[in-house]
Amino acid sequence: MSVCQSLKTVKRLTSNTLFFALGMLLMINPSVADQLPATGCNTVSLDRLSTLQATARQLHNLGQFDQALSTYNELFLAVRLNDGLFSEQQLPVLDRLLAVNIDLSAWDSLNQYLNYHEWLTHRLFSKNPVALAEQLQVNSQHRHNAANRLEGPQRSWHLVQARTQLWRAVSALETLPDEADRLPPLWLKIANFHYELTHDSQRWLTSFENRTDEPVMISGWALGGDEVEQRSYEIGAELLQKISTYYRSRELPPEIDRYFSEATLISLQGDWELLFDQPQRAKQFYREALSIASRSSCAVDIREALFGQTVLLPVTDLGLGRSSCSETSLNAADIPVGLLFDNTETNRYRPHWRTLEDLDE
Amino acid sequence: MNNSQLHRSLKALRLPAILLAISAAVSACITAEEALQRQAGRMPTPAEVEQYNASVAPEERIVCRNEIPVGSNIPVRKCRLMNDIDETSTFHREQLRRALR
Repeated sequence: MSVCQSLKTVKRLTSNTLFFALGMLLMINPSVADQLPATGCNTVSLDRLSTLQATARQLHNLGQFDQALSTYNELFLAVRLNDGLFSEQQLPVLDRLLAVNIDLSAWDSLNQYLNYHEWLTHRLFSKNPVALAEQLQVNSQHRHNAANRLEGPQRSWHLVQARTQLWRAVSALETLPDEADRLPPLWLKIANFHYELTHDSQRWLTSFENRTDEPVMISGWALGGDEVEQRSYEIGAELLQKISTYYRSRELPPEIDRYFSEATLISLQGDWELLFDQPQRAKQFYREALSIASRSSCAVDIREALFGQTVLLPVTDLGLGRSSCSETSLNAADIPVGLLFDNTETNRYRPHWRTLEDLDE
Repeated sequence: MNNSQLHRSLKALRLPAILLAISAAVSACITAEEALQRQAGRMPTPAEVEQYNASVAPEERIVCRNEIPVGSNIPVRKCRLMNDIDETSTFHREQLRRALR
């Protein structure tokens, strides 16, 4: 390592641990370290960075994950050498590294990168709530992707962590009243995490979020399975109510039909009841949604958009950006009602408006 | 009923009416005070608890649950620090062990 580079690095380092970590990385990957004396203070050239980036992306797209991982690792190291250990430029590379680790099912490595991503995010953006919230959402998304490929305690662990990151994002955004519009989609995501976790809760085991930050299940003191489910239901219902209240108190853009948005939000509350086996309450919400829709000049279109096509539950998008009348292309008469809205153990659908009467059977 | 009788009846009703109005006003004040107290001392909702727990260290996390106090059938929502729950349960276990020796 050149004197110039050493001075640059020392200046940026605030902890001996990280200094040691960089040293270790240089030892592990000599191919990048070898370039240092030749390039002096600039360490790795921009051309080399672009080549690494393009190669890694290509390998990833081709499904050659091992080689992609190796190239991304090299790129990651190069970026850290060029811009420092606390540089924002690491984040896009980290994002790709996390994705490749998930593709490779390299869970230990993934956890290390996720922890590093989280630590770096807080280090970089402690005074920038919007950027902090965005990166926490990235972290959450990767954990969710990992959870989708895992089973059992590991899956639950990642789901809980993903949800926790979203709560942290919410807390960060709540400090900025001007950014309040970003909150409802996050609330919906958190509610959906609760729904996903209800399938994983086990009566006799300690729930992760209460006991420990480690991905280990400990038997003993716990919220029982029923209690976890009840709490998840309550939190989701509270969040959906919050979303509904939020939009009712706001002035919506003129292109958005207020009846459409209100009916959508109420139908989401109905969905929640249906997901937690409360068909009667769900029916009340759905009827209220239909009643609100009927006040609009586009009543039929709203009804068809919300209750006339296949809607897999839980809904992941608030869908408030639609204007209503012109955007519904489905003809209700063409839908085979009995086939589309057949709720099963694994898949739940919002009922068709014609079948609402039979919901409680 | 002539006019003077009506006047007397109304006069007789005046005092109770005033008392009733005062008591209604006083009770309204108490209700408002109570409402404020309740607002100030209200337990956090489940979502608020979870949001709080997400942003603090594990030892500072809280658990809120419905507990049925001895001598009552009405559940009361109680929030406790997880550390306190652990310590209390360890203490009770030790007491129980001592008693069983």
